[in-house]
Amino acid sequence: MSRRLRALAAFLYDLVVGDDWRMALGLAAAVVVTMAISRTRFPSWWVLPLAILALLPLSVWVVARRRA
Amino acid sequence: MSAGALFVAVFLACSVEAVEATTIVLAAGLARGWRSAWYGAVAALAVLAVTVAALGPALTAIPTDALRLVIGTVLLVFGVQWLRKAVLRAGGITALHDEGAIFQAKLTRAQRADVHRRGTVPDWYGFTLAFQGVLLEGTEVAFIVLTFGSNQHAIPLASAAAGAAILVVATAGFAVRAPLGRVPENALKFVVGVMLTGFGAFWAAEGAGTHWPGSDAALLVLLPGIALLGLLLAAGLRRQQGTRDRRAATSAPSGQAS
Repeated sequence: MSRRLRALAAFLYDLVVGDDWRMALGLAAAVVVTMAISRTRFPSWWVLPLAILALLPLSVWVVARRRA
Repeated sequence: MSAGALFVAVFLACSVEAVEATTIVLAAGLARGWRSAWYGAVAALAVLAVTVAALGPALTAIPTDALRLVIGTVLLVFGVQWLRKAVLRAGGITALHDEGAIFQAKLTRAQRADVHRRGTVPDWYGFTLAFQGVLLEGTEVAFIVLTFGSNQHAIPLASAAAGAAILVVATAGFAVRAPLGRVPENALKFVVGVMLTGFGAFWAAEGAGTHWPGSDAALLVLLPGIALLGLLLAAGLRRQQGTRDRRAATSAPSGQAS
């Protein structure tokens, strides 16, 4: 049973997080930052677009450099 | 998000997965016989339908903001991973998804296996090949239906869009009895990656308490912006790859001469 649960957890991890856990962690952290800023009087809508703009090229660049 | 936009988004995302599942069921049916392949595909679809039916009402019972925060974050992470793969493929860093090659590999392997009858299933290998293929690809379909549907409180509509995608793709696949190689799968994956990332970011931010400038109209800037980023990254990778290939071509003859 525990082996099946582990296999299910591994499958779900692979489905959602995939190859780059750092990018997933960075995006989750950006959501937390968005939540923190939205409790202040400052706008917070820009955090997630900025996180995508920074993390996606970084992740792609790491793979491209590794393959070069 | 309007009902039409929800339908189109889920239909496109699910049609990509349906192409992959159809390839596997076709390989199982042609190599091992259609009865076992059908049993496997139908059994997997039943498991997925029960999963959506069980989780759907539970998800829609969660308060909207909390649901958007959690589902939006998961969708964002899932979408960016999907987009990243599409960019790497478009940029020539990883191999393009070749449905024809996958079909041939599955067919060859399936033709070699022995026949074992189990209960009413004439061929267990054909059954499990179709069952696993539909279940694995279908899990992503169920995930998309649940995330998009629960966020918009429209799981029946999202399910109908997924069902329509499966029906259209499966009908086309079984009409030609060959993998749907002409479907621009990699381009579709890029579009779906953009949509998942955009909607994920939009819902996650709303769930976190953000108010987007222009409300829903922000998506009209967010989605093209993400698409542009993906296209620029793919173009940059292709140019880098081209430069490397030219360098390798010019250095090869001098290397041979020495």
